[in-house]
Amino acid sequence: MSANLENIQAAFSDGVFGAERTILGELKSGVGLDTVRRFDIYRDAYRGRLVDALRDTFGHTATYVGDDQFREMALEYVEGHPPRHYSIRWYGDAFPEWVGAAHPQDPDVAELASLDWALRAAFDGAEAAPLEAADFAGLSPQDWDRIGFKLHPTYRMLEVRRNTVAVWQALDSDAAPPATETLGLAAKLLIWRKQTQPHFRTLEPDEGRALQALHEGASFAAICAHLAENRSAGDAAALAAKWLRRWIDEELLVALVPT
Amino acid sequence: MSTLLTSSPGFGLGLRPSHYEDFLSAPQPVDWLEATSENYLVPGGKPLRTLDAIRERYPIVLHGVSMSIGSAHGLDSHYLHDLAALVARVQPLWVSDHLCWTGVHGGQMHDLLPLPYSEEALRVVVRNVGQAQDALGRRLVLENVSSYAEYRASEMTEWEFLAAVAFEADCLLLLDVNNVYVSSINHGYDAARFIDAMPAARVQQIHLAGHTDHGTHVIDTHDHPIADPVWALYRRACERFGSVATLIERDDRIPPLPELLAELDCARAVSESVRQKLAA
Repeated sequence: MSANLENIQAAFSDGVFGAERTILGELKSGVGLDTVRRFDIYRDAYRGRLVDALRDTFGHTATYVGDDQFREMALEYVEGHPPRHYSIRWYGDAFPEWVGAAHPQDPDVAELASLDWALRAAFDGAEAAPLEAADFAGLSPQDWDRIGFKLHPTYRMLEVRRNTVAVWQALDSDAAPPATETLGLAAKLLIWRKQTQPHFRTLEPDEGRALQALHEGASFAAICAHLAENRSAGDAAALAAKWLRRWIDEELLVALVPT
Repeated sequence: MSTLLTSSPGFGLGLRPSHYEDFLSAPQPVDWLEATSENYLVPGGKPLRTLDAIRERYPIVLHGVSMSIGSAHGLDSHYLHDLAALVARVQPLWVSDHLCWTGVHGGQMHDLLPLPYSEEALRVVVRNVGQAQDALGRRLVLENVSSYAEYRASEMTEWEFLAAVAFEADCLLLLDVNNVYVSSINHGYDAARFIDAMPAARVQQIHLAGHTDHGTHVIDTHDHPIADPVWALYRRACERFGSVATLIERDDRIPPLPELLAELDCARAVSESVRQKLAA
């Protein structure tokens, strides 16, 4: 009596994901190859495909650790992480965190993987038309007291504790990466997409706090008031205006929102 | 002329990112392009913007790899929802996927896995095709896959199964001639019998591609030019089905576009010589 479809598919999956081999009893031996070799074509292709997907998404991480070691690391990840999403594009969402936990001796690798993942997310993240300088022209002083900004949907903040930016930039220009080192103070990276190009830059602590506050719904006036707490009103206004111009140029702001 | 089929747009290529610039910078001698649906099932950014720009210049077919039409547990409604939105955006000539399954119990293998050719599997596929066609509001086009294993549970041949699916689910077929060849070698059957058994009125499209011959078996790698036995089968398919939309797939070791355009000219020449022979 042959197994039904559901049992065959469950046995096939168990054989591909793990070491269970009951599926072999469901296969015909056929010409040329025995059932073991036939099934292993699928089993091996599965691992090869997922390792390739990880290498594609975590390109700089793979270059950094070297092809053989990355393959070893990716295979280790694959064993514990069967894909759940219908698209292989999303495979690897837990990879940076897993590297951090499974390879605690390599925090530089985990951080680099986080940056690779964040840049991929920015690459094909949602669209929104950016605000232009003209969108601010008609605002009255009362408006300025109330408005906040909606940030581009690909906006993301990533904390780095190592010289990951220097490592990424060297790898991106095919140069030898510098030796890994721990930063004196953790830094915040701003990640987003401008037009079709993902970008990132290191934020000064004040700007990082301001962007995060805006993202969480604070008004621009509240940001300015906060800046004025430890500098003159003139300096605070000048700094806020400088940031605003930069955010507009960077296409980081996509809507004015009442707060 | 059957009313089931969209009239043939001619000869096309699988759209790959390495050729985006070729298609955007100048008109190319291809009649249509086939986009892999999953590459564009993303929120936004360059892939979708590029697809929109290319869609303005060429007719497009959406070809999926994740529908898992043979899944015993039914279809992923999230996938169908996302695909329907992409279909609405792209307005493709038609939508295709593979007669296979890709995962079960929520686990995905991202592979085109063979089905047992059983009455039970037929019922499952017919049910699932109905669900997909309802969600997409159009007939689905299903492709035969390459396979490396067969099940003891099979009660009919692959070609009997494929034809039964087409009739009973009222869907259309994408005949991958290379897959027919690959499976015929791996399972020891006569590829011509497969071609001859296809219901001509439901063959919407033909795929051509290259493979890798390992001596004991053949793998569907899409990383080589089309092999001679596959060209011979294509000729037979043209004789049987007439002018069917034909597309060349290359997924690995992708050459510069002119190389694929030259291969596409070979397909045009085969089709034209058959047409002239039949007209004589």
